[in-house]
Amino acid sequence: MKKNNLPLSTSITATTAVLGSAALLLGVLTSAPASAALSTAPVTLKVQYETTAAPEEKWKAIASEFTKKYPNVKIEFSAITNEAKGGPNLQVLSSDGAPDIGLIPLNSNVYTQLVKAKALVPLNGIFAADNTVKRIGPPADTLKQADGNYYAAPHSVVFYNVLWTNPDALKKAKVTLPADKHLTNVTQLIQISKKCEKAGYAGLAIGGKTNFQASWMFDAMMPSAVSDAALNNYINSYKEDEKITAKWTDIGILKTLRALEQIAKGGVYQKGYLGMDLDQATAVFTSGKSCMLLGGTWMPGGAFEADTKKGTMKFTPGFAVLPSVVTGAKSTFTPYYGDAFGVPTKSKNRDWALELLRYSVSDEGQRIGVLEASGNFPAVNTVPKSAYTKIPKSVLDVLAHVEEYGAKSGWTSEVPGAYGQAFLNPLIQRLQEGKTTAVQITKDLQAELLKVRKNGL
Amino acid sequence: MTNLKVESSGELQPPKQGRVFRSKKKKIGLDGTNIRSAKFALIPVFLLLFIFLGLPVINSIQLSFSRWGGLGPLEPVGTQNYKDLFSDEQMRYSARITILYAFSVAIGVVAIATVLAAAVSAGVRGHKFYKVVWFFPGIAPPTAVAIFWSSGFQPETGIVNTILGKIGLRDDYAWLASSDTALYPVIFVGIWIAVGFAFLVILGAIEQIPISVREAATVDGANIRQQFFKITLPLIKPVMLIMLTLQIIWTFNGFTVVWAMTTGGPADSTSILPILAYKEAFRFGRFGTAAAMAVIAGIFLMIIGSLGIRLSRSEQR
Repeated sequence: MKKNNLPLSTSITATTAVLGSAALLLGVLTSAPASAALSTAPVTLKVQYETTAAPEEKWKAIASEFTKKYPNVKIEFSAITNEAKGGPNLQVLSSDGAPDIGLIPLNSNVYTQLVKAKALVPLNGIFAADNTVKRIGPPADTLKQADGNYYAAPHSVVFYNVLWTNPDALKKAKVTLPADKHLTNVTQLIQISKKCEKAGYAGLAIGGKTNFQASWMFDAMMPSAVSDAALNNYINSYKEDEKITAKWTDIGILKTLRALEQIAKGGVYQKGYLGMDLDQATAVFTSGKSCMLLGGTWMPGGAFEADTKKGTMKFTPGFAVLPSVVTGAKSTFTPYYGDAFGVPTKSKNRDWALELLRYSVSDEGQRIGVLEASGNFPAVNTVPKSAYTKIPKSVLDVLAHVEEYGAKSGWTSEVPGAYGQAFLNPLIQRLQEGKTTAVQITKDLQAELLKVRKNGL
Repeated sequence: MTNLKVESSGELQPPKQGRVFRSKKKKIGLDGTNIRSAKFALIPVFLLLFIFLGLPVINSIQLSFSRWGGLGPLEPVGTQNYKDLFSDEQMRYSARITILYAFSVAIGVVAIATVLAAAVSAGVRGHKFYKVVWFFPGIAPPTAVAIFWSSGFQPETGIVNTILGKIGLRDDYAWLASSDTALYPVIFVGIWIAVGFAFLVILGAIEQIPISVREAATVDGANIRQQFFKITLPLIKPVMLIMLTLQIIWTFNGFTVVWAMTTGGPADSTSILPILAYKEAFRFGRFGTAAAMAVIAGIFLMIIGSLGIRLSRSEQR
């Protein structure tokens, strides 16, 4: 064996050189793509976003940072409408022209069918890396499918069922809201609306024509009328292997539906609400014609800001929480993680798509894309509050309220749309019109549950 | 006038039709070789028809006997989709309102277009201007028209309610917000958007009537009203029937106007069959029942189309 006769100083120098090289190499590696399969050849990624301002800004901000890190990557966008994302987009995502990252609402038929047909790339790598499961928290559990895989990554969380209020209108109507912002009961909501009407304002503006707003209030009020265990069962019992422990004909559901009927009959909503979409309802509110608007946390940074800039919105909104249907209980705002992103198996740049998606759920991606660009809340819980600088104050107030009183899952956001929102929304519209009864809807829901369990979705 | 020839007998004889026909047949090239060439030339046409019409129809029929969520293989279910549809209250309701919508729009369109065309043809003051203006709604994008009118029917602020208010009627009625009234504005807009095209077609038919016929009627003492009902209407009836048939088919299959105005609501009260089929397929992932609806609607429209063509032909005779 040949002996190494190098002097000590030379050995130290050599060792230092090796360590230095290793450190340099490590440095290079950390800025290189995480996946070894990623090439440095030019690549163009196609990303879908919804045709509203915030998601576009989010992806543009993320793309800007990502392409700085990886100059060989170019990112192109394709916009889809709110209507298309939950329906016809299925054909796009399963076609040969599929984008590399697709927008997939978790409560839509698109997600159900893509998962069923295994047309999405498992995202287990993303969820395993960077402690993502823990950083997302409980919603990550619902994202895990029966086969143990994750197929969609959330990008932000919004809260809906926020009753945005017009303080000027409420003052003129001589309405004082409770200090904790919780309306005590349905009667109080009706009385507030009547006072508003007397003062020349509509009560609560809603987009009754949309395929979701009629059922939103069900999401807010139902959890206050049933136990947490029952809520959990309502959310999961459509799965064949889940035992039905809570029936739709139970009293809590009936009370919730009767409350919705009472609200509609009590003249709480603006005139013609069933013929208006959410944009029209928002315009009623921002133009100062209603005391309240049923909306969500994306509005202050979106429509409110735009209308304030245009000069059509001349007040700073406050907020309130919908009443509970059970005395002593409190309704909450409803969280929505649902507009998630996935990588179709037809993606032509799968590895780079996964890398971009991973970056979008990293703390940096969430800060740049969600907090700073779109003004929503990040889907992960590890971005420090100090980064919440661009979130409007009214939205931060809502967040503080959520931290104090909690937020419970909305049934229509959690279950597949064919069984949930698409089924329930027209029934509640009929209830609002007096064309069906609360009892009948509970029976319809129970029958649909049994049908879905038998035939699948 | 019939051609007459002077025969050797000196009597006038009609021409020998058979011989003339045979020579014509040869002239237009229908001999054996050319028939084969013609058949050969038709192959691409039939191929294209099969690819773009036949295959989708076959596929739809196959789909209507299957369960399919939008991805993966079809699961055959026999006639279950049809059974489900016939026992479904919403389907029966949608079929009824689709027929009501299609026939109301078609009758309204043809009636209004005929009156407008007759007025323009009669040379009312400004007829050249009206000829252009009445066609405008037909070239406007249907979505834009529907959105314009859905605003027009809003309570208090909408143009329709404003006009109703000016003439002393209620100005706060939310036409599109009630399932009892939402279909009426939709029918109105359906007529408004389609009348321009029908007007031009019927005007063309009226102007084909020889002026001598009208002059003769005037000489015989017929007034304008009598001329319209006794001469114009009977002579343009075949065109009106074809227009009516086409309008029923187009409106029956229409989606844009209804979707843009009501998205089928409130509470599915304006969900005509194309909208119901869309919801079945894309919101509920039941492409099989959606295809079954399309097949049933297709058969119904084929019957309507055949009846329309038959009636139109019998009127032409």
